[in-house]
Amino acid sequence: MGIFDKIKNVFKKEEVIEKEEVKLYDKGLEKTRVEFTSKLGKLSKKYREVTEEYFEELEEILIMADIGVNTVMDFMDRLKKRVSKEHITDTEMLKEVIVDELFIIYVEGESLTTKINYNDNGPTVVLFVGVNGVGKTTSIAKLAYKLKCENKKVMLVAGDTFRAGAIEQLDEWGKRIECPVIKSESKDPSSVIYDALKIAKEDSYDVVLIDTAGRLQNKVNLMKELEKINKVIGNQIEGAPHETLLVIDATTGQNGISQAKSFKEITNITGIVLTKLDGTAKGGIVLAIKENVNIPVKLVGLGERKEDLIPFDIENYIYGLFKDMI
Amino acid sequence: MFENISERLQGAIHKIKGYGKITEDNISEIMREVRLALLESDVNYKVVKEFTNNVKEKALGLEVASSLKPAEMFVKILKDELTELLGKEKVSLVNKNFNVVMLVGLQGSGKTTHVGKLGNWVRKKYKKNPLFVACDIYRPAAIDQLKQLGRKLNIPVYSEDIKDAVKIAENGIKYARENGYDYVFIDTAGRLHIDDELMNELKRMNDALTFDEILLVIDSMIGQDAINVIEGFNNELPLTGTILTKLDGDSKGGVALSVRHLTHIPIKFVGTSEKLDGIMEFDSDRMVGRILGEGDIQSLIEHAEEVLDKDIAMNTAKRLNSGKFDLEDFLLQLNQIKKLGPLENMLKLIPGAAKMGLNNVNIDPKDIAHIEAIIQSMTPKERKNPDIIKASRKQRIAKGSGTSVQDVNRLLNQFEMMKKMMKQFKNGNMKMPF
Repeated sequence: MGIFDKIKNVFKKEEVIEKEEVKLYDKGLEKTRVEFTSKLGKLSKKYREVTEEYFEELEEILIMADIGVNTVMDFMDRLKKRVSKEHITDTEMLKEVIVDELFIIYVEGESLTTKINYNDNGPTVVLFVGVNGVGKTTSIAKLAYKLKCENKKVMLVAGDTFRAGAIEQLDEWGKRIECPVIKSESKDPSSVIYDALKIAKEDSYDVVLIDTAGRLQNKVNLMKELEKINKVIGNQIEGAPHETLLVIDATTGQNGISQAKSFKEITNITGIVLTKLDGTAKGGIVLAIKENVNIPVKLVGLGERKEDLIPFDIENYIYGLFKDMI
Repeated sequence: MFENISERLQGAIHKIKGYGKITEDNISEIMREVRLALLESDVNYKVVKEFTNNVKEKALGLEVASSLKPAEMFVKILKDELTELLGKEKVSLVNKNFNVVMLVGLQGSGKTTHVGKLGNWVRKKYKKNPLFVACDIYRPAAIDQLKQLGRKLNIPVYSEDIKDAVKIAENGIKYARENGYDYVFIDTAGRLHIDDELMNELKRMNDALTFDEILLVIDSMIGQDAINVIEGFNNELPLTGTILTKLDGDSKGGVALSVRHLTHIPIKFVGTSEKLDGIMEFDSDRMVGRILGEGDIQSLIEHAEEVLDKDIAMNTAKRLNSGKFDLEDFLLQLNQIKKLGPLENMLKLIPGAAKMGLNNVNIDPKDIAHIEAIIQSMTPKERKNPDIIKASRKQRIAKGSGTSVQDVNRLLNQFEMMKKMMKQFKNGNMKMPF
């Protein structure tokens, strides 16, 4: 079975991706792809036949993409088994198998969606969480802009009451994209959020996007604060938050797995926003996170402009990475 | 922060203890563990390769010559190689009559926060009069952030409402010279190392102005992309050092091992908390000790000395000795402890912490806040003489502190026990636990 048949089977796509989006993906991932694929291309030119050295270099490429160490080791084991079972000796042929296996790690037979889980009876609440400096506030602004373009009534909540300048940052974004920002003098994020959700219900907002302070996942008190925030949201609007998005910086290494695990213990993480993918970082850790913690990526940040946030598409992602190769 | 390297290496070393000598066979297995541990810690792939090869070669070569046991030998080699990787010599932050330091880095690495911490640091350590210059003209509210930090620290911030970072930096430095400031920190916008336009801005700044130091701020959670980032900035700017931030997280910070080796730029500081005194000078010896699980008692003491008020400590010690220690003193002590930052950090620095299971202890600062609240709800008389606290007083205290009578009881019991223990120390019946 060819790789594209496989992709088509796995992805029951609900809509065709707009060309514009694909282009943006390509552009954002260009740097990533050039390095990644040229390496793989070179690899199969260098080794016509599958040898131990070939495997070693392949392992290096995958590790350098920050795909988790254990994920890579398991992947290499599986690949070697397939190679010996299917008697693959040609490296050209192996390229297809590699892509194939990478898809399997991420998808695992599930049908994944990047759509936001909307609340039919009242405001939809989306909570953004993550460690410091990953791009929570910027991602919120971008998503708000996207939703506004879809004619949704959107509210932003300045729940980062800790970091200096965080409220002003969201406020400034609010002005730029013409979106109300609820903030308060209070140092307690729960109280701001409580007030905001009340307003959201009264003024029937469609979507409420809540910013929170960056917190390292091993800080007990901050994680407890998040637990409380979650409770407050749930008490105000039943079933909320409808989405809790964990924001992860594409440059993040193996620690991404720990972040995903810890945040998932405290909140019901429904998806990942993978930011800063326009650099040279490959963000491969999301494959390991999907495999180990089972959280899919929903959105991808590809630049600093308000338009630079698009739905994640594993097909585009891996296709982008391997374009030259296939 | 390095639990995993240290644990895995310790596991590998333990295995060696079982062997009479290091052979080609048994070392391969151990090196595999070492390799995985380093990769899991985000150490650069090439560095890992080189490192494991070096260690292996040395371990095998020394086999006959050395009288040390294989395990001891292996540890020594690991230690030497790690020290080599991290760079032996310590390079302090510049300290002249007038200094200009610029911080650069990716978005979200912690530049602005560390401008604040460094300003505080040079004022304390070098007795300097710092000025911050806000050159992040792109990110919304970045200047606000720096201003807020400046207000907290009482350090002025130079900013201008123009879109020319080079000009602002130039004017800022001039302003500092004219107004008696002798340490200028330039905060810059976060940027990707492949963003030509913004990298050009930094180059123009470097061409137009003289910097005593240009520090690259790196998030310690960074993965294999670190090398691209570091080289990207280093190729365009004469970097003089790096700051590793967010080391109070549970990232293994393998980037520390790569930075120095791949670029020969020293690591000058590490960021260890969100507080404005959460910064420490980097010390490779201590870092190696930490990696190998030997703890870091020296930095623990240093940090404590820096933060704690010596007068209060002396007073407390005196009162302890005279047996007059009461809840009032206890409250003072708690305040001192709080200044040290998250207690988990302190515990981790104690040698053998991992073995005692202390590396994974979680302490909720709220617990300390509760204790504080309880004591604060007592009258001065009650604090001096806790024996008079009976049922109705307990109820009042519990109510006043938003806790329960059980909580008050627990605190009183703990305090009594503490006093008893201290008496025993004093009488010499018990050895101090450290």
